[in-house]
Amino acid sequence: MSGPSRRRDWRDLGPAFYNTGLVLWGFAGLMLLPVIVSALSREWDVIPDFLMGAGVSLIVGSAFALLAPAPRTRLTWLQGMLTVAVSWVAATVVCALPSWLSGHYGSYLDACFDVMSGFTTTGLALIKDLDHVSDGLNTWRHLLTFLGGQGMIVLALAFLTRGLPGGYKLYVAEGKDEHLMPHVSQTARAIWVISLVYLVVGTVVLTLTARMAGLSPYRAFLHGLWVYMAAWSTGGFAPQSQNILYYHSLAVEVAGMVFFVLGSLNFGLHHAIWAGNRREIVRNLEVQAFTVTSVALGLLAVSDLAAGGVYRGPEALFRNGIYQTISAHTTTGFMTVYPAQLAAQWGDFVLLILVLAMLLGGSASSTAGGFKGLRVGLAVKAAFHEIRRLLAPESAVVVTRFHFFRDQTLEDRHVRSAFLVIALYLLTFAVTFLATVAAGYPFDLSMFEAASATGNVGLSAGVASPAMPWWLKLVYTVTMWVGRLEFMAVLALVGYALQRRRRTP
Amino acid sequence: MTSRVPSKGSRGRRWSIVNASLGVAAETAAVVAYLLALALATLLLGWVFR
Repeated sequence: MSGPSRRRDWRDLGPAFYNTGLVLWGFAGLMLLPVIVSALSREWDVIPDFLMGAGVSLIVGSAFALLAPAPRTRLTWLQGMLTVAVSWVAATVVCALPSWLSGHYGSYLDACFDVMSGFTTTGLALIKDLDHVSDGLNTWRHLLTFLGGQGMIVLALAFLTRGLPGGYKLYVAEGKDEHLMPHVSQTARAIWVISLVYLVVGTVVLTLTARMAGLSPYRAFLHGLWVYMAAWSTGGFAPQSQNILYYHSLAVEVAGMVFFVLGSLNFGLHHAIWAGNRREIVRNLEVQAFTVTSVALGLLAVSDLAAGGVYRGPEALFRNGIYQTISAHTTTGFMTVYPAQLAAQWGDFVLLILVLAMLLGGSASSTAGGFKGLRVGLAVKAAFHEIRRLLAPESAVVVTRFHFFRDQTLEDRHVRSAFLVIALYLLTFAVTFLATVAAGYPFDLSMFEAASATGNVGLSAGVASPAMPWWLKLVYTVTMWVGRLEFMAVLALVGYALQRRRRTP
Repeated sequence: MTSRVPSKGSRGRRWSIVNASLGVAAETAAVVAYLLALALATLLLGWVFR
C-alpha cells in the first residue's frame, strides 16, 4: 500500500480506534457493578470472571487508545460512523468474556450473540440454564441492554471526553437523530437524566410488584431492577427462563407494560413533555402512528385468539394477546407465553400480526427498533399526499403538513429517507428469513424469528437457541447489529473496507 | 431525518423539578389511559366472541 493511502486509512481509523479505547475503559469500570452485586449476594466464585473481564477490557482499551492518536479536529461523518461500528464490535467481543467465563454458554460465539442481543436491546438469548445464573451475570446482562438502549458510545464519550467535537455524528450513527439540546454532550446527559429518573421510579414500582408476587425483599429488588432495565430499554431479557410468565402476576405484567411503552417513546418527546409541552404527546405524528397501528394489530390478534378459542375470557386475552402484541410493537420481547405455545397454538394469522408489529417498531430516537413510528407516519402521509395530488387539478399545489415537535411540510427528503430505511429493514429481514429457512427451520417460524431479530424485538418461537447452526448465529448477530444502528454505520464500515481493498494492489 | 436544533426560544423552557415531575405524571397517565382503552376493547371483544 502506498504512503498516502496508509495515511488516509489512519486518518479515518485513528479516531475510531482511539474512541473505541475510551469506550472499552468505560466498560472496564462498569464491570465493577456486577462485582458489587455478586459480593452482596455472596457469589464469591463469580467475582473473578468480572475482574478478569475488567482487566482485559482495560488492556485492550489501552492498546486501542495508546496506539491511535487523540483526534485533534472535529470528527468527520466517516470517522463518526467508523467509531460507532468498530466500538460496537470491540465492546461485544470484550464484554462477552465474563459471560463466557460463567460456563453458561456453549461457545464464545454464543456469549457474543447474547451480548450483541443485549446491546441492541433485542432479547434473543443463547444462554443455558438461565434459572441458575448468578446475580452478578444477570446484572451484567441487564446492564448491557440498558446501556445499549440509551446509546452507549455517545454516553461513554460524552462523559469521558471534553466537548466531544463532532459528536453529533456518533449520535446519528447510533440510530438517533433528534437534538434535545444544542450540543450532543448535553443531549446525551439529558437522555441519561430521563432514563435515570425512570430507573428510580421503575425499580421502586417493579420491586413492589415483585414483592406482591411473593419474592423476598432482596430478590424483589434485584428482579425489579432487572425487569425495569429490560423494559425501559425495550430489551426483553429476563432473569428466568419463563420470562415474565415466571411471576404469574398481573401487577408485574401491567407495570412492565407501562415502562416498555414509555421506553419506546422518542427521547425528544420525553424532553418536550418534561419542559412543559404536554400537548406534544397528542399532536406528535409518531405517537399517533404508533397508537393507531398498535391498537389495530392488538385488537386483530385478540379477535383471532378469541374466535379460535385459544383463550377464554377478557383477562386471558389481555394478558396474552394484547401483552404479546404491544411487547412486539414496542420491540421489547417480554413474553407471557412459552415459545413452543406461540408456535403451536397461536396460528398463522396471529404470528403474521406479530411479525408486522415487530417490523413496525417503536419511536425514532428511542430505545426501540423496527421501522419506527415516524417513518410509518411519513409513509402514510406520503401515500395520502400522492392520492390528493392525483385528484387535484394539474395547476394545484398540494401541500401536506405533519407535526413532529413543530409543524412541518412534507418534503421529498422526508419521504426518501423514510422509504430508504424501511427498504433496508425489509432487505435485512428477507436475508435473515431466507438464511433461517435454508438452515431447515419451518417457514412460519423462520419469518417470525427473522422479524424478531431485524426489529430488535426478542420474541421467540424457538428458533434462537444454542442448537442453532454456528453460521446462523453469526447471521442473527449481524442482523441485530445492523438493525440497531439503522444501517448507516455498518454500511460505512463495509464501504470503507471495500474501498480499502480496492486501493490495495 | 427531521432533526432540529432547539431554537433560542424553545431553549428558554428549561426543565424544573416541578415540570419534570408533572411530565413523568403526564406521560405515565397517558400510557395507563392507552392500556385501559386496550383493556376495555379486549373486554368488548371477549364478550362478542364469548
